[in-house]
Amino acid sequence: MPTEIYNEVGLGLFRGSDFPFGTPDGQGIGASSLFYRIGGDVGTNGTWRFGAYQVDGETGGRVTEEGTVTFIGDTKLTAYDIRYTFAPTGNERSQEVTLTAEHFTRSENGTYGATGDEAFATSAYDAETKGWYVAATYKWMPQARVGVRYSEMSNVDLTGALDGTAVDGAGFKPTQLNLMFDWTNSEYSRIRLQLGSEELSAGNEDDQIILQYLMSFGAHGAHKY
Amino acid sequence: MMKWLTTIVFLWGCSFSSAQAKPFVFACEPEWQALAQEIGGDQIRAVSATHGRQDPHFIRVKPSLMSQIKRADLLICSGADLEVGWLPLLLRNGNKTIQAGQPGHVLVSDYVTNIEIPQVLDRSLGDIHPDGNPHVHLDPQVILEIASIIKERLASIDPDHEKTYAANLKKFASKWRAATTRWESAKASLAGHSVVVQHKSFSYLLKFLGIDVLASIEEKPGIPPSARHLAEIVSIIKQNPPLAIIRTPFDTKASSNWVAKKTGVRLITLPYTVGGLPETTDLFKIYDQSIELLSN
Repeated sequence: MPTEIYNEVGLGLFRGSDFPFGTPDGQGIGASSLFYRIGGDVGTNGTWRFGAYQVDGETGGRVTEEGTVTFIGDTKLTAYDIRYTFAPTGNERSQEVTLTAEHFTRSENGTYGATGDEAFATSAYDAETKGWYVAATYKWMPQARVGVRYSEMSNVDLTGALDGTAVDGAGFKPTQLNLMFDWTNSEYSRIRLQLGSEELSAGNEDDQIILQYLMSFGAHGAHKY
Repeated sequence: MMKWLTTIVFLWGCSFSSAQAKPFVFACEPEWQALAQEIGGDQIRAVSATHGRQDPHFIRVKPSLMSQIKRADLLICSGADLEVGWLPLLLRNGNKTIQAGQPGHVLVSDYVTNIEIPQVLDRSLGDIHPDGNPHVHLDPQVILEIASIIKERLASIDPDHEKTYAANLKKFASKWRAATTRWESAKASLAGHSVVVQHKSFSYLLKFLGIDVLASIEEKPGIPPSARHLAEIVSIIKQNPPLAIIRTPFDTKASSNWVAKKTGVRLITLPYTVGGLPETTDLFKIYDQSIELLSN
């Protein structure tokens, strides 16, 4: 069977009055988005898919941090994601490996200013913040899976007028590592143990043990009764 | 942004260049792909969403299927909710000609009489099919009936080759009738025997051969059996030894292995569909091999 490639492309134009934009600068279209997805098979029992997404817009004033920090200017978000799945017998319900990764970039070009306790004068800002994760899960029997995920962000390190203000990430890299095991008892219930280790701000390390019981109710597409 | 757009338009263009003039048949299961190929021969292109070692109840919609369904001229699936977990999602991406109610939409169960229609519908009973047993391709009569429908649909999609389709149907039907007579003669040695099944995958074949179902390893369809139920099966088998325990190539193996070991009853993996076993290369071999395996 020849390889079948799936392609999908989409374009959107919109007002751009919500995050990551804000109060539009004037009337009409304030933002646009564009996405592209491509995918196919790897052999009989493997699949892959790659996606790219971009949203681009401008704001006349986006207010964050409880109404103290204001950004005026252009924001562009770019995201890429890739996914690969492999089921040894073709029956992913019994056994499956999945690998996923995503990468995000936010670039902003404009001015930042703040009022209140941490006030600073409105100053020019042109920088990029990036973040990504990779994750893998392995299901070795219909009920049991293990998974691992690592995430990281790279922050801006500002110099000049914005150095040391609330918008200066000082180059800190927040990281997070998660391990999980879950047991799917039936279509309705799943129990999951998750271990996490994260450092979301400098010196604030946090280790977590999370036990979840997930339950679903009601009819769905494949069970209308 | 412009560079991006150019790349996308280029890649998108590439995806159309593979379009073909031959009628494109999208089958949900290998048996319908094989049947379409018998009638269409070289004049058509047929693909199957699942292969012979995949459980057709549970597959995930994958990018290649999304791509194929968009180009399909004729859809052939078992129906009766066998594909309910994935076909509706695929159809949302399919073109108009294969949607429900269109001539390009053939759910086999809509044309035949399904057996085992449940009296009560309740989630606590497992994955039951409200419209009855969907594993209809294991009734030889169904194959013959659907072969005519496929011929008729192919002829309306591609009238230029109507004669070829009619000739292929005639050839296939006479071969199939002869084979059916041969399979019926196997009844003599098999009828009246009983088997233990894993799932109700073979009900039509067993009915055709006159074989009774002694018990089902799956207590409720789609749900793994409890230890108590397996113990019951062992005691049923000891009182009334069956011909064999039968399963499909994609059934989970642990429970049937355990029961076979406990009781010493022969365990047989039947091909179920085309590609189920390495030698199952066409529709005739599904029946030939199954009967041979059961008769040994």
